[in-house]
Formats: sequence, structure tokens, C-alpha cells
Amino acid sequence: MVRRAAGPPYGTLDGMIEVKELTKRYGAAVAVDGLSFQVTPGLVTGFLGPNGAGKSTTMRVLLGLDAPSSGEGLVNGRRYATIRHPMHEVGALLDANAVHGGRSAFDHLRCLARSNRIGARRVAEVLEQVGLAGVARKRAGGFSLGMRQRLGIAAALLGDPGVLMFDEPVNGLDPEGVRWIRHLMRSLAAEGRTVLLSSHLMSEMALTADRLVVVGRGRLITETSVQDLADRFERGVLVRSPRAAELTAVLEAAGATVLAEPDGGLAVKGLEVAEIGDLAAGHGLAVHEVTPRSASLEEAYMELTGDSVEYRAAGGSGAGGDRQGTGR
Amino acid sequence: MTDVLASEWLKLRSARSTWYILGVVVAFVLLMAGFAFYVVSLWEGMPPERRAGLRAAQPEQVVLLPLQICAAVLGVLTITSEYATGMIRSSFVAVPRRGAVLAAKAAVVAAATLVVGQASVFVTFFASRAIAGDRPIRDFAPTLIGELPKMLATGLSPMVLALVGLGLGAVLRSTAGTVASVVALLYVVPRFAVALPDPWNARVGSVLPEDLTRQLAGEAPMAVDLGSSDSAIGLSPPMALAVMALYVVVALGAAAAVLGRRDVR
Repeated sequence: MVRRAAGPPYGTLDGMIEVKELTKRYGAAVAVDGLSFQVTPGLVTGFLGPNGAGKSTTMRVLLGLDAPSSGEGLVNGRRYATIRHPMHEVGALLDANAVHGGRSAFDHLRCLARSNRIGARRVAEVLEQVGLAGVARKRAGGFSLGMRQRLGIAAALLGDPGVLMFDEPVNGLDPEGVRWIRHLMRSLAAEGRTVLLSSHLMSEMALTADRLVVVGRGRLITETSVQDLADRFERGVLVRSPRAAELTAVLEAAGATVLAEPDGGLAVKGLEVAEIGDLAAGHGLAVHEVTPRSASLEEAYMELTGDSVEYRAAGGSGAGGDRQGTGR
Repeated sequence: MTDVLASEWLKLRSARSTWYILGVVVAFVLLMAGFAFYVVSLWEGMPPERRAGLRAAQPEQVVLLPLQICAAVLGVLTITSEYATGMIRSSFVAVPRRGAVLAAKAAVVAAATLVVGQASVFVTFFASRAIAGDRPIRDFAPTLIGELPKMLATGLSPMVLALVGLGLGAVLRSTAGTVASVVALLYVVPRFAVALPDPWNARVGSVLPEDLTRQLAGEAPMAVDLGSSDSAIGLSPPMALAVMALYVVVALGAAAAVLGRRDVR
């Protein structure tokens, strides 16, 4: 599938998703609170945050379903509601259950497609692409959650759009389905499309996304690349030795940064476990523990979202080399 | 707009509930044929001198009641089934102009219920007259030309109720709540209206859907017909048609206003 050349040119805004100072209140509850970020083409952008962080609300505003309390969400430089046949520009999977269970998969897609001047042949194509061709005439009401996710993805792909948004698409999928989604997202981005993918699972994002927009309590926690996030939470190696002072000198001489921890352990950065072991042995220094402590992305995420207010107060986007002790 | 219309037409045709409702309508038309056979057998079994006194309801008027309910339910389901299933979100993401979606739904529901309503009335009329044959049964005797205004009015009212149901459904979003409201408006409120003191029984009744259909056909409101109110009260057929149109305008207008303002949940 190749990105269509047809369609009006939007210049530099083509494929951009822009969220600007977006706030959405439901009564007294604030779902999204002054959120701003951008999503660019050619990458899979993970939209990451705990449940209730405002991810779905942001997408609903972007798709014109909810009116923002203030601020705005733009796709290709304009509000979604002003796009005439939006399926050709933006494809979205918000909720796999947004299907009338009494219709067949084919009829469901056909109804959506027809409203955007998309023919029945394309409907058959996307059903084939998502692996539902065999059950196209079956009622969607009898589908498993995984099949509904595929049906929702098929709907998003109908118009061959340049911008795609998926809200928690891996929910309910079996491992094979999860791999399929991962591959699909990567290939859509590789074709030059803009892919925004929300999830509350860091592990999934680590494998799928290039960039991350992390939100908590409706606010932006950080906008970063997956690699930067991993680096930021790199915490080195924990070393314990009865001769800590001497070992510190040796390791620092080898180029490491060493920080003494309150319980007597040493937090060593800049050297691998094997190098530390070799150095200690070479100097005849006994070590009682050498444990790599590089936080997994999962831990980094938990720490980021665990107390979003604290991180926001600490400067939000700052590089975090000296912040590993934040909190506890 | 034609794309949205075509899409809504597909939706209507591909929903199973549409065909169930049509099946119920066909069943009632067949039931009316059975009713005509029953009247004929009554007539045959009577001594010739008593046959002129046989009174029977006109089948094409009896079929109105189930037609109205079926049409109202179809109108309601057109929108509330989308809210109930979440399909409404897919619909509004595909077509963000919510007014256009509502207008397209109204157009296809109106067309379907008008055609089915009129067809049911006329099929019932011709079937019952064919079954009666040349027997001079008093209530089956009026000619097509004489009955035409009444039949057209009867065939129109299901469409009115379908559109009121659609509009109310968009406002209330709940299938059960909306169906109950429309049925109450159709059959419960008129019963209370008749019980009001004269002349309010006829005044209130004359603007309710049931009496509007009667008045559109040139008949008096029910309270007048029952002799409990002054015969001067009532609307002319054009006025009755205007009030019917007002029902539709108010219901769909409220729906459009609410759809434009409310977040789609």
C-alpha cells in the first residue's frame, strides 16, 4: 500500500497532528489540562499514560467528537470537523466496540465507506488486509474483542489516510495479533504516514514506537524518543565492596562516575558489569555484589507517571542524569 | 450530501431490525385479510334481512395502529441503536457534520415509512374489498375515490411518528425511553385528553397525533365524535397537516440543536 499522491497539498502541515493548550473539563473533572504536543509524519508516536490520563479524551477532541473547553486539536492544520471526506485524510480506531452488532463486517465497513465515497472493492481489500475476509459476511456482534480491533483497524485504513490514530489497539489481541499490529504500525509509518498510537503499556511502546508523548493527569509529562527515555533512566551498576573507598578510586580512574549510596553501596555509571569485575579482580579488591541497575523502560515509565506532578515541578523535559534519586 | 444519504440508506437496509419491523407490518396486513374473511363469514352466516345491519371496522383504518407503532420504533432505532452500540462514534468520525447525518437519517426514514405506510393501507384496502367481492357489506361499500383522503392521511401518519421518534431518540439516546415516550404520546396521552372537561378534551385532543390523523382525513376529534364535546372544535385538514409538520420540525430541530452541542459519548 502506497500513500496516495492525490488530495490537496497542505505544505508543511501535511500529516501533522497538533494539540495546542488543550483543556477538556467534564463538569468539575479535568480530563485534559493545558496539553500541547505535536506528532510528525514517518514515525510511530506512542501516546502513553496510565488509564485516565486523558489520552482518549485528547483523541476524541482531535476527531471532533468532544468539543474542547479551551485550546484546540488540529490535523493537517485544521479542525477535524471541517474536513469534508475525513476518512481520506485521517483514519481512526477509537473504540473497537463502536460497531452495530447486527451488521456484518462487510456491511459495517460499507456504510462507513459510502459516506466518504469509498467503493466496495476497497472494503474487500481492507478486510483482506486485516485478516477478516473469511468472516466478512458474519455479524460483527459475534466477533471477539480481537476481531473487533481488526475490524476497527480496517475502518481506519479504508480511506488510505496519511494520518492514523489508534486508541489502545492491542487490547484483546492474542500474541500473533499483537505482533501483527506492531508490524502494521511500523510499516504505516515507514510509508511516510503519521501514526499516533495510545497505550498504557510501556512494554508495547518500547517495541513499536519511535517517539513518546507521555501524559499523566491530563498534563504532558514528557515528549521524548524511546532511546532518550531509556538513557535518561540509565542508573548504572550497584557495587558493594568491603573496600569501597579503594574500589571507588579504581573505578573513577577507569572513567566511571561513582556515587556512594546511604547504605554503603556504590552507584557506578560508565562501566559495564564485566569491566567492573575485571578491574576489581585486577586490583585484588573483593566485591560482594555487582548488579546492573539500568531501569527498564517499564520502570522509567512507572516512575514518570507515578507522580506526574513531582516531575512537572522538576522541570518536565529536563535531561535527567542527576535526577535518579528523585522521589524515593 | 448524496454520499451521506447513500450511507444511511445502506445502514437502514443492512440492519436486521429494519427487516423484522417490515415483517411485523406484513404480518398485520395479512391479519387484516384474515379480518376481512371473518367479516365475510359473519355476513354469510346472517339471515339476509339482518345483513344490512352488520357493522365492521374498516381494515385499512385498523392497520393504522400497528403501522404507527412500527414506524415510530423504526425511527427511534435509527438513532438510538447507534448510541446503544457505540456506532454513533464511528458515524460521526466518518461524517463530522452531524446535521447532515441527522438530515440523511430523517430522509431515508421518511421515505421508507411513507412508502410502507401508504402501501400497507392501499394493499389492505384492495385485499379486503377483493375478499368481500360483490357482497354489499356496509362498511366495505365506500369507493376508493371516496376513501382516498382518509387513506392518504392514514398512510402519512406513520412517517410523522417515525420522524418524531427519530428526533426524540437523538435527544434521549435511550431506545426504551424513547419508544415509551412516543407510544405514550400516541396512545396514552389521548386517553387522558378525552377525560378532560369539555371543551378542553377536544382542544387538547385535536393537537395530539391520533386526532391529527383523523382531522387530516376530515373527521372530527375523538372527543367530538364521542359526543362529549362541542362539534365546533377541531382543525381543518390543512391546519391538521400544519400541526403534524410542526411536530416533526420541533422534534428534529431539538435533535439538531442537541447533536451540535453535545459531546458524543
